[in-house]
Amino acid sequence: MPKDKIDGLQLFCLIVLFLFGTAVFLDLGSGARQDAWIVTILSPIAGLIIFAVYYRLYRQHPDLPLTEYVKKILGKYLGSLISYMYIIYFIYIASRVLRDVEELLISSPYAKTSIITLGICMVFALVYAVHLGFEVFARAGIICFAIMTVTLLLILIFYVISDLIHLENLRPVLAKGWKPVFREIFPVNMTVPYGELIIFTMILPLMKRKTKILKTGSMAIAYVGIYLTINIMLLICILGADLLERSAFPALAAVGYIQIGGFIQRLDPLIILLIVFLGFIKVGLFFYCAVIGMNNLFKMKPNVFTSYFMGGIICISSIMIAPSYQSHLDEGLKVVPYFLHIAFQFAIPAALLVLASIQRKWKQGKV
Amino acid sequence: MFRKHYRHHKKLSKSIASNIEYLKEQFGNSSDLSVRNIFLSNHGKAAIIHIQGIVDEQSLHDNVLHPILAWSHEQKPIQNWSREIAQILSVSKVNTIDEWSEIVSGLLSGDTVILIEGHSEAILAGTGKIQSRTITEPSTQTVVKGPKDGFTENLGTNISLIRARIQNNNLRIEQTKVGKVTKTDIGILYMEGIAKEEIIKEVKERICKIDMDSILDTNYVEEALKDNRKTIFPLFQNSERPDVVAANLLEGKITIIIQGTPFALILPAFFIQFFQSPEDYYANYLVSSFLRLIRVGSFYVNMYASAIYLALITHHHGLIPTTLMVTLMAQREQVPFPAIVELLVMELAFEVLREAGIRMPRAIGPAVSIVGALILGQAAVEAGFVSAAIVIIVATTAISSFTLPNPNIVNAARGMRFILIFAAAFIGFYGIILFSLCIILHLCSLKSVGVPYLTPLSPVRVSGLKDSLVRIGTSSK
Amino acid sequence: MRKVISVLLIMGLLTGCSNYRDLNEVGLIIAIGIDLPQERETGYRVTYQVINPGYFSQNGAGNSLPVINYTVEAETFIEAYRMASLIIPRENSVTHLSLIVIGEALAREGLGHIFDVFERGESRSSFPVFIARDTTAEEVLGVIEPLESNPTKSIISTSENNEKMYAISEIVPIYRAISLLSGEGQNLLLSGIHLNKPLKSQNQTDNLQDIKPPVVEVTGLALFKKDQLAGWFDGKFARTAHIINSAAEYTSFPLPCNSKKKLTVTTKGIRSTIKTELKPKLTLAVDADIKGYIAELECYIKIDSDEEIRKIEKKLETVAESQIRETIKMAQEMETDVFGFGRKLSINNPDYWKKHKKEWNKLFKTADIEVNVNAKITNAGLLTDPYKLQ
Repeated sequence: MPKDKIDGLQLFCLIVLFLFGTAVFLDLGSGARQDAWIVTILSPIAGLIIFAVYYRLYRQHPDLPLTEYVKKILGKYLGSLISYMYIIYFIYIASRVLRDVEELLISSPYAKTSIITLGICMVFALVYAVHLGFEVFARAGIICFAIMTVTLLLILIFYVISDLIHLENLRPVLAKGWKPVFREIFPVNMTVPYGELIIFTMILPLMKRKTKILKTGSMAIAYVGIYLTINIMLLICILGADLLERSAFPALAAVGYIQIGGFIQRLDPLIILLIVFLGFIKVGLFFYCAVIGMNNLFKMKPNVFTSYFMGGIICISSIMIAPSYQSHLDEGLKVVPYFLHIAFQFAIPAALLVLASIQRKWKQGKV
Repeated sequence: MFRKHYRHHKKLSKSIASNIEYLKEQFGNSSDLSVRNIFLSNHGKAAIIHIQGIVDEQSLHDNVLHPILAWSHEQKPIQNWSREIAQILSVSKVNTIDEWSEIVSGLLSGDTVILIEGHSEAILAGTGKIQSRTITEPSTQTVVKGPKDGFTENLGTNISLIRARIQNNNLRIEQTKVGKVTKTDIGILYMEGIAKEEIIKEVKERICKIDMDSILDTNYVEEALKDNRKTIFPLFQNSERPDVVAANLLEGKITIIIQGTPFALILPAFFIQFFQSPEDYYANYLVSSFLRLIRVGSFYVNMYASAIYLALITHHHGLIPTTLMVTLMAQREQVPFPAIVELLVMELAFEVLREAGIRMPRAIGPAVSIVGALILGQAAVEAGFVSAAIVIIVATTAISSFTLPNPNIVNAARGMRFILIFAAAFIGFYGIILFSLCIILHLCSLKSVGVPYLTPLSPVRVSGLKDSLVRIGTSSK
Repeated sequence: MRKVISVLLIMGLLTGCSNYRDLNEVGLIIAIGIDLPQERETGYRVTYQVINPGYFSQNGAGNSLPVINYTVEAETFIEAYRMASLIIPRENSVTHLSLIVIGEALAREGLGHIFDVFERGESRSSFPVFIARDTTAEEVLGVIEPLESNPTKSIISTSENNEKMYAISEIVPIYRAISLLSGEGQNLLLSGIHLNKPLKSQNQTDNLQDIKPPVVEVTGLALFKKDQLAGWFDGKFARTAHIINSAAEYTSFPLPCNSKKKLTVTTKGIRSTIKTELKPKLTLAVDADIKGYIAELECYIKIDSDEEIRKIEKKLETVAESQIRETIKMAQEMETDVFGFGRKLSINNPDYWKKHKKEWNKLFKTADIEVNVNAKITNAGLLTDPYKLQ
């Protein structure tokens, strides 16, 4: 086991940064039009339930990551297979997130840069991060959290000052009833970002103290839920449901409108700063989990080769997974949630939890 | 060769002539080894040996020579000559020694050796007085208001300056000698009960492990003590000011003072500390918080200004306000070089000027600055070699570097600046942000004697945050 | 060290893919004029106004012009943008695009999706759109004024100035235009500009020497029906349209004082709300609150009494009410709801709106109008009564 240790505050910051990830920039719940904020205020509840399941699993084996206790629960061969699949899944999600970041960058400021250049740069930084170990990563998380909070607050203040908010865009509430709202929550908004908390099953064993994890996690989820709700409400107020639905990156569009006194304008770099920071943390977490999973599975000591290898795979597959951004989005909304997320985020952990509890009962009965 | 002579544990012989012969051989007949043969009327031949220049001649005469000669006239039977001489010498440190190595090192540190015919023992009298300058105002880390005394090159003086500030018996001073050739005295200072035991132990262990021939400045020790050698950031704080050292000692830090340099080493050091000036504590906390923020700001300006400018004018034209854009375009119209070349040349030119300014004899300093300002600034712009904006950026960068109280952190920022310029030229803001992330990660991975470098920012220490980027006033209650 | 070198090497290999562009390689387009083509059947005639940095540099030639216009005809915008390289010597960049002017002829044929390219591309979408009234965009962009030598800046600042002083014009950023075109229940209003007199000579520097040169004038407000220009509001009506939309704040109302002379009220804050009522008949109501002060008195009346002030308020109310009424009538005649009554209705009575969305223009035309103006005079400048002519 790696001996890196992280504390509660670091866990909180990491969960928040992780959940913000790409969520701040993508059009969460825009399918529900002006009711998107109802989606973002309800989905954290689903997130809490999911996190509770992961937490229960972790309590059963407080010192092992997911890829290890799978073997304990399901036996060596089936368990290894499942944990191998999880590693692939982590790599896949990492490449998806990386692709999101790359697409945002080439859509606006880097129109002439090739997508692979952006990917390679990011992966180099990530390999360095993984090389330094998780404890350093978690500590850097606090700094990133501070920077992110300040930036988001600044943007929020600018929205308000530059008089862009039209509250009437929020009306009418629930014009089409609850149906579109629920259709947005399940599965898309439940799986991204909340279901992706599955990677914290790999990270929780690194905690210094084993107490209060559930509380920390819930606070982080609630914090994210509240912020995302405010964020999407602002975006609706500024852009209107119509543009929100049409725009690929609503946050970038909204920030483009900010103009204060002819001096504070063109704030796109703030958004780029945020997307790179958050994307970095999110890809980094998946990357790190894939690497420890891999090292554990093949019983390797932490080495440079695994991280370079993994980095290369993530970088290349971020480009290979989809021929165009449209198909990337399409996959992300219509295929991945149903085929991958539901299985890996809900079905397998739930099954594992049930199995583990049965095993435990059985063992207790035997003793 | 030198080393070989010191490794022995030879004892003295009884013959004074052979002893003197041996010593002379050891010092290679060095001309400053002074041997004075005297005749003690009660005892026979004796010799008083010292090295010229590092002994206090006055004290040697009044406290050693004179008492011995006076005593030799007393016709008393002698039981234990060495104890009797020790009694009559009026210096504070007297030792009786029979081993050559200690005699040699004693001589080297300014002691006087007294040999007497027929005894295989020598007496070492502490008459050392190493020449040092008087206490003056420190040349770096100057303050407008606050104490004006600075350390000197003398270890004893420096310790006395600290003792004068902390009159407490918990102030511990441990002296050892480091450096196989130079045998430099170094003192480890800490406050018992405030400094953490494990850090003290760690520091002592690391100092014991130092395996170097010479220690001439704090940097020698610094490099030996570093946790991570591959870093450009200073892991320890240097200070020339006794008040800074005293304040740090009281916060639980450990200070290492080295004979021969006025700079004390304070450890563990935190990143934040390099932005704190002693003056912060001598002024109103609101004012000092403001000044501290200015310093932090200038650090980032120093590091990022040129990279951000380059990113803007080569990658992100859309982010420059239109009127400014037109001005910048007009300025660059005649410039024959790409912006990156222009910027690098100007940055390097400034570094050259800065280096020249330090080496330059003081009298022609102003001439250099006139040439630098006129030739490089005005003429280059007028000739159309560089754009005026670049000159402004480089000048801003340069000026902002002078606000920081510690030169080491400026050097770190300088190094980072050049890499950031390349990153910006390569891929604009994306490169800057990614490299900044790497810097953050690097800073998080650093430790100063086992304590994370970014404390109290990360890991967060609430008590430490009160005196970090801003200083929150301490209430007197 | 090995790592640093390898990273630098890789960076070196990848530089070919970078965005690096030096400032002196860029042709900065600051305005685009769009007209109907003259040499071809379909497509557009696009005028690019490009900054000439030489003019702004210290030792720049005194007799060059601050901007240069390049006109290209092509099938689509991007085609034109790329084709422009035939005549523009530098890599053109739209990152600083700050104005779009559309020729009236094109606007009458319909704007269609011409704004799409500006939202999709590199340019930002918060710059204003204007209609070149009775002329082409090419013409309007081709005048250099002595006071503000950059035509783009001149157009924007003139209309900004008017917006603040009299409120005939309004800066409509492109994203608002798009959201009005794509949203339902409100049609688009765009400010018009034209030259106040024909150019005397083709030599632009002559224009700079003239003390009364032809300049760009803000004129009227173009009403759109869907995406087609349907008509114009002129002068007072344009101003009143902004009063109805709460877009005007400072403007002036000359009111009759006695038989011959006038007094003027300057407003400082107008808030209007629009309402719709279905029963008994579709009624469009406007409630306007006008706050103002007496800025000029050309006749002798004692205004130190409450009663006199109330009289003036009354006058203001009647004048404003009739103007508002007339303005809405004009819009009704053109069958275009530029005030957002439809949107109000869609929020208040979604069911009714859903049913009658298609025929809204007809319904709008026949709807009753109800106007309610509430004027308030707060002070009268530094004086109370005017001086007396003896």
